[in-house]
Amino acid sequence: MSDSADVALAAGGDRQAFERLYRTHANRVYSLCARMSGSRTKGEELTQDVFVRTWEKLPQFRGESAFSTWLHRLAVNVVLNARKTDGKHAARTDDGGADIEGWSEGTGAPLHAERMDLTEAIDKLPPGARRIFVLHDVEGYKHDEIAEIFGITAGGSKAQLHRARLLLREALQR
Amino acid sequence: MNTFNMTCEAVEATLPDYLDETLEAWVRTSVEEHLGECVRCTGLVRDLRNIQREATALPDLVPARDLWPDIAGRIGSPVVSFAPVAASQPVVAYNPHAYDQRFAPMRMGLAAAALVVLTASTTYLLTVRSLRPAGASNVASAVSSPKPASAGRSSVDAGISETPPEPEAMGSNSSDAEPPGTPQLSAQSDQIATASLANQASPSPADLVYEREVVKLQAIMSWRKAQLNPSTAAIIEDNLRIIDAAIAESREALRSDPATSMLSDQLTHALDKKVELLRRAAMLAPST
Repeated sequence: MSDSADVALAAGGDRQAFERLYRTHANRVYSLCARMSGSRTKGEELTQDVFVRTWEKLPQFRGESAFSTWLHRLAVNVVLNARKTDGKHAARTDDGGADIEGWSEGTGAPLHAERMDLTEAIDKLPPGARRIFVLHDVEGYKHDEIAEIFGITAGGSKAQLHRARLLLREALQR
Repeated sequence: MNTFNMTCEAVEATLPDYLDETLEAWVRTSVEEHLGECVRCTGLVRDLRNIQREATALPDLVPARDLWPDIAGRIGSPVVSFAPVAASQPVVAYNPHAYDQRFAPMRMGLAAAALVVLTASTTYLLTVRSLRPAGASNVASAVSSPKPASAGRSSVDAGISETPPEPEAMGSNSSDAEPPGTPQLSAQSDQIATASLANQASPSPADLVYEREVVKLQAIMSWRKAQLNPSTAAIIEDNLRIIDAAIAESREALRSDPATSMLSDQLTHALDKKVELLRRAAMLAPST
């Protein structure tokens, strides 16, 4: 059964159809949530939030874009909203991108980091740099889309992405 | 095509656009000329391209466990239907698609109040049942004894129970006292709620419902406060003060502008928040 049929059924309250949608998209949503948050555990929580939100919002889905695109954007919003409510520590270290000069607290100095794989290195990026890198290089968002999401300029997005890549390069000891 | 000699710093500054292939042709050619001569910059470009390539090809992650049962549980949370006869309807499964969202503010207020009644009553019932020692007296006696010396519990807190019912007012001390929700307790809650709304010119039915549930939940919280971590209790009190301030502001604004549905919604929202906070606080495990 296609997404669109299940979307229509789920929008009418059919939970089995919604579960099929979950099964189809769970891994992609989880990947986004885990990578953007830098935590598998947090990623699981956020994934649940995304699908609960999706269930609530489905009646508003007009089909103007693909369901997967709509779901993906909704997931990004859920992750970013969670960031805003994540307490004082997050407020200090997670400023939407301006903190990419350094590495996440407790992750050690990148210059002397042990060799790690890309996934691990992404998790250890500072939050702002990590989110922009994930959205652009992993998820394929354009700079103007990222700029709109974060309320920054496309040039700012570009600069932060570049610095994230440089930090990853250092961590990967290429 | 004109090109120019670029330094390593200049090349690095253009790399984001170079890698995105958005450089103007003549700049791109200049960068490539530099790369043909500079091992350092060539290595940098190679590494960054590899990172780009690997990032694009990263496989999806898989959750360590199946998240669907939790999601299904959350979307299946029972709520009262927002149908006009909500108060008399049985509990139904949550379906955000099943109701028409075009409600008049008054109807929304009544529906919200009905929801409050249901959730608060459930909380009340669950809480006092869970706290009742085996073989001990019934719920009403537990609620009616906010300072049970034998249990080592302390006194009623003035912050949480801003309008706390007096212990004597909460029902009989007899072991045969009525369970929560009996006419006696309800009537006393009504009286207290009505008294607390006395300064309002014409409290709406929804106001009365909210106030009655708040009184009940505050009675539970008064009794339970000694079981909670002091810092948790302090946080709850602080939040209640904030919500109370919002309620007071909304009521004041409504008095000046009673026709504005936004203000009415705001008041309903604040009352919901207060009931929800009290409900959750009443359900907290001891020493949380």
